[in-house]
Amino acid sequence: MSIELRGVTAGYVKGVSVVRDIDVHVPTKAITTVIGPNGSGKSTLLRSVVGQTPHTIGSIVVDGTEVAGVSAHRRVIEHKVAFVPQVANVFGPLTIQENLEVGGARLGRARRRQRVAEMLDTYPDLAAKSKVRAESLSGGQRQLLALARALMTSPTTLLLDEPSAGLSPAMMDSMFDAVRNTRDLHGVTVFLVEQNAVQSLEISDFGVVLVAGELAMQGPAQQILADPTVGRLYLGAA
Amino acid sequence: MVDYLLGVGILAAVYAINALSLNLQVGVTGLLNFGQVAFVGIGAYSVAILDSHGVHWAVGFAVGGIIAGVAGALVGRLGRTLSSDYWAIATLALAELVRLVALNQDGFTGGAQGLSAVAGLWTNLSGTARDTATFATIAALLVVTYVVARRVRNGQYGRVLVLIRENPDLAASLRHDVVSAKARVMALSAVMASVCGGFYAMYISFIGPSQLLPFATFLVFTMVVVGGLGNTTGAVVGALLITVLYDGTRFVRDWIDISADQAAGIRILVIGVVLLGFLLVRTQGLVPEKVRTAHARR
Amino acid sequence: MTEVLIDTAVRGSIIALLAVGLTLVQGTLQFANIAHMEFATLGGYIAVALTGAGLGLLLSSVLGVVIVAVLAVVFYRLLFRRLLGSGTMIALIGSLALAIIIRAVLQLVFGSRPRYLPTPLERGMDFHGALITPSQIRLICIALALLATLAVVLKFTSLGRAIRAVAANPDLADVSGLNRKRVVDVVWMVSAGLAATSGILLSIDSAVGIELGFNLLLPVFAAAIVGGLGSTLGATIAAYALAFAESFVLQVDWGALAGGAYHLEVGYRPAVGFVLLVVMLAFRPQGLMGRTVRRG
Repeated sequence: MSIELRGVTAGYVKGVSVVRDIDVHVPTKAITTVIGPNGSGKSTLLRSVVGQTPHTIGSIVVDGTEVAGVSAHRRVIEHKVAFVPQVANVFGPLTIQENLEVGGARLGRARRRQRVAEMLDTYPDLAAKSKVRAESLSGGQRQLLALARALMTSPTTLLLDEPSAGLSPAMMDSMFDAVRNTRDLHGVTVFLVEQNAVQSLEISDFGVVLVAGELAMQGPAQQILADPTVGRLYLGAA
Repeated sequence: MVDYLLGVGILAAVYAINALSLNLQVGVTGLLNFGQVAFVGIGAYSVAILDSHGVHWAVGFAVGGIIAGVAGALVGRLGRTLSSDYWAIATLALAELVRLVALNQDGFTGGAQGLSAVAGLWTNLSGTARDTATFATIAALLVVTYVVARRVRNGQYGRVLVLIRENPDLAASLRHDVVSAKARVMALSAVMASVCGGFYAMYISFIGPSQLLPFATFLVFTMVVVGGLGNTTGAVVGALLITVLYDGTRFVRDWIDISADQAAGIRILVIGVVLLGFLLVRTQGLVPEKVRTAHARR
Repeated sequence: MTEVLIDTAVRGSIIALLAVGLTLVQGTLQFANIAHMEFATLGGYIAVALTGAGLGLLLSSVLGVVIVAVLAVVFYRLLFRRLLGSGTMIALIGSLALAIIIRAVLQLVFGSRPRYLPTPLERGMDFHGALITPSQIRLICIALALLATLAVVLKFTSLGRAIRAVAANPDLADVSGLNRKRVVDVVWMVSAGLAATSGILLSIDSAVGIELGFNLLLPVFAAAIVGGLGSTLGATIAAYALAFAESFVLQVDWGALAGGAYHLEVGYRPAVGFVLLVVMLAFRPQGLMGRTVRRG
């Protein structure tokens, strides 16, 4: 569902906050992408929504409820938020099946089994290796498993931290396809952070530009793609 | 009374040298040496064994210092591939190994009985005069150790050691030879500890395996933590306070009617509670280290 | 040789029950709890106190295990959470302090003479030329049953999956909706319970003294580290292997190699573990079954 960030300040390194006074509206069932240079605080902003880097000032409202002070695992369970971190996003020594089962730990046994089957159905690449340890998967398969694990709870809000990082161009395409399909099929609100600005904005409805921890611009994705300044600075346009 | 105070003073100075040594390892460099007592034991046994063969104590100190220094460097190198908690357990194991050897090599170490009648210092004097002279000697030794420890801590080398503690990857990426720096600080600390041990054996004219129990290391840890991990002055302050406290609890049976067993339990309990209390409530100790800032702590 | 095997099975079981718990806690919190061994001592003494109060041996043992398990969670919540907040080094020193405190309190309450559990006098049975008592057989069977149960729980139940998930990647476990704090609570209860069981079994086989836990510290750490910290299977195998090595080294006539007769002094028994530990740490710090540090 929708996410409302009002005056959010989060993260703390050597006396300065990583992101400061951010107002962002993430509309329901849309894909919203945050872009910005390295170190602009994109990931910190995302982690503040799931509660891994709790915000210190401001308010974060998920689906009408303020989530300040709510621990990460309760945001996942009670507020139906799901999060896919950029690195270390699978349980390496656990099999693919077990990874999915952990993702659905709070579901009933029957429901969990059903969701695992659905996920393996949706991602045949994973189904073929369901008894294989996650640490032996390729980067793209891991990313897919991470996404599937996050979807186990049937979340209404999906947070993705640089899903295309470290992937080959072909893998990137299928990753972005998977993200868009997830939204189209399940009506999930998607809030993601990307280094790969062009491709991510192309599948997005809205874009947010973060520079040095502050909000520089937000609006429809097409508008941001077309913006000459943004183009010059972050999209690599000539 | 004067004799009692001198006795406590001598003991406190001996412990202060030990604490300065441990502080260089644990406080400054972040090397959790749970086997400190082994270095003390090497020094003490070197002096005592050579003395029992009629060799002058100065030779004993030199031999003990060399053995301890080499052992320290080797133990420091052992840390090359180890995470800090495994290394801590390994040092504890090594110290226990030293104790087992002391306990079982009867012919050499006197076994469980240990070696007694170790020649003391200033044997030409007696009574208070002798205690005063002994105290003056150990105090001078403490001053020397303190100056050395302080120079190491505040010099360029000390900054490297602190960096190794706070961020070993960064230290390595700045082209500091982390392994060699650790080995050197271990060697230096081991020599300090062995000198302390040699002096201790001479002062109480005895050394035995019962003095090499892990509790001896634990006592010095308490001193360093109470004084303030990483702070050279703190180590001395902690040593003084804990020596007075630990020695003072010897008289617990004068106050309450308990068995010798229970009295020993109470003495250990007091030290344990003080250490745990400081770790929980005042982790930085009485004299906090200055470079420790909020972001450096996890 | 049968003697060596019986000795291995008994001592290996005692070490294994402690080592798997140590490794579980290390796996979930990345912190080596030195006070873990004291849970064994506590278990033994609580059983002594309860039988002294007139309860039966079995009931006392079960209650002892439960009490220690609850106590461990209290220690974790009140002490270790806070200590871990100041870093693993502080927590490690703190666990040493707790170990010393527990030992001192036990000495204060029970004195330093060994105490015995009221076990019926048993006659040893001849087993291929060596003696084994029924209580030793019970000890081995109970230990193996518990170790097998633990392995099954870890492998096949959702609790076990949760524990492995928290160990593999605590942050991801959090955002997967697992209640990490509760999982860690359970891990402390289980490991302390196993430790107490080990202590009580050992007390039944011989006696309980203040040093019961401390004497096991290094072999247990050796088994846990050699097995690869975090790997319960590795710890179990290493525990029995270590017990065998200890027993074997003492039995062998080393002098025969040089034409004389020389047996290592019994006093060196614990040294076998130290040597194994140090060699292992120097050459294969990730342990037998351990994986190199790689998350996710």
